[in-house]
Amino acid sequence: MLWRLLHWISRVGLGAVFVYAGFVKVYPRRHQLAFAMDLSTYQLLPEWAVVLVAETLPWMEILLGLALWSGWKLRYFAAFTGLLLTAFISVMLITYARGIEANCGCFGPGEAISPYTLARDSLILAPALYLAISSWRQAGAAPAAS
Amino acid sequence: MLTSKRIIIGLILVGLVGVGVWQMGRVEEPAPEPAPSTPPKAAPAPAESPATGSQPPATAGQSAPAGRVQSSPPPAEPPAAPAQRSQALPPPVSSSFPAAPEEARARCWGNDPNAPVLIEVFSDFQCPHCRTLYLETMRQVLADYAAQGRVCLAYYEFPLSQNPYSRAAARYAVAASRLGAQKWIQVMDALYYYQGQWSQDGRIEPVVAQALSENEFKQVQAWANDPRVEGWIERDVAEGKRRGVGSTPTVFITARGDTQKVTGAVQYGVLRRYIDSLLAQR
Repeated sequence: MLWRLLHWISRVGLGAVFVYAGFVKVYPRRHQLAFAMDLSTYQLLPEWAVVLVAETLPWMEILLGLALWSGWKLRYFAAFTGLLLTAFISVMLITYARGIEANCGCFGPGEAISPYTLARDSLILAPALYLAISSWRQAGAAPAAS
Repeated sequence: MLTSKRIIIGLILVGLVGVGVWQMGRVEEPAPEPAPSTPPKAAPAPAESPATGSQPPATAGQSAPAGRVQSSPPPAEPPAAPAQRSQALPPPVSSSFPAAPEEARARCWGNDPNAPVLIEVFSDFQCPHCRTLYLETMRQVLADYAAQGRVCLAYYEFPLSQNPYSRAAARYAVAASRLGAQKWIQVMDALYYYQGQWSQDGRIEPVVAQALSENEFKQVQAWANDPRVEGWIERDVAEGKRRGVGSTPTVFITARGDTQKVTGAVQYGVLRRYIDSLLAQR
């Protein structure tokens, strides 16, 4: 019962975080352009790639959040969410380690990468990993039980 | 059965969010910009700056190299004096050296101090990302937007304590600004372009000297040693701290009463999209 509750909280909470993170980047429109500037300060991508990522990533985050809420193909979406978060944290860590002053771009514009943002995003990774592992285990256990 | 139910719920949620975003996008009405209390006074453009970061800056006896900046139309008004900057820094005839102005627009480089977009940059001369931002982005902004009165660009000195020669370089830049926009740009170009050189040994004077004529350099050298220049820089630093600047470069972009803070060196093309969107909202 407790595990089911934890599973539900992780799924809904993580979905909410992703929907919120995507929404604040696309609304209003200038936030999306500001997000592109945040991405640009990472100095990792050429201009065209910065624009492409800025235009698509927020919508992907919203869809990912909604997919987590719905629970449809949960093991795939949870695993993808975990990978995406790992990629975000890695990029932020590399940028921070390179001494580049950049905006996080995690939840809207104007927030610089700091130990706080790194810790917060790492904390969000925990339920994503839990969801991914538990749902893959469930999927593996179901055929064995039958 | 349960799976199809979840799919339907998911689709409904997607639809609701989509409609919500669409509707909010339709009703968004930006707040009107407050009208200036005094009519704007045209200031000459910061013309003829070198075009790209890959090109060395112009020296004293040399005009700026050909590039996109020179393709900008020249200022309509005769460039009698660096009017806008001179409000912040008085012309050389004045013996006094007043404190830095409180008002950002009173110190901006550009053809119109009341331009719809105000960009403020807190920068350190020894910071490599500040170099990238100036040479690859802000010079283009000066040429493509400030020179046409669409952007007011204000630079603030924010020398970081870990960079031993930043403050001295900032003194030269502030002093050079008294000679006008063109000389300020020449000195900025030289300081940033040769950053790797003078950052090693702190020999800033030869770098500044090659950007100015002999007389100009002597004048700038005298001003740079004026203790009031130090006061100017201190005011800039205090202003930065007041606004939460913790690192350089930090850029504040203000339009229609809304300010966007960006930390780091933004690529020109990306910044251009943002500026264009702000200008399109007018």
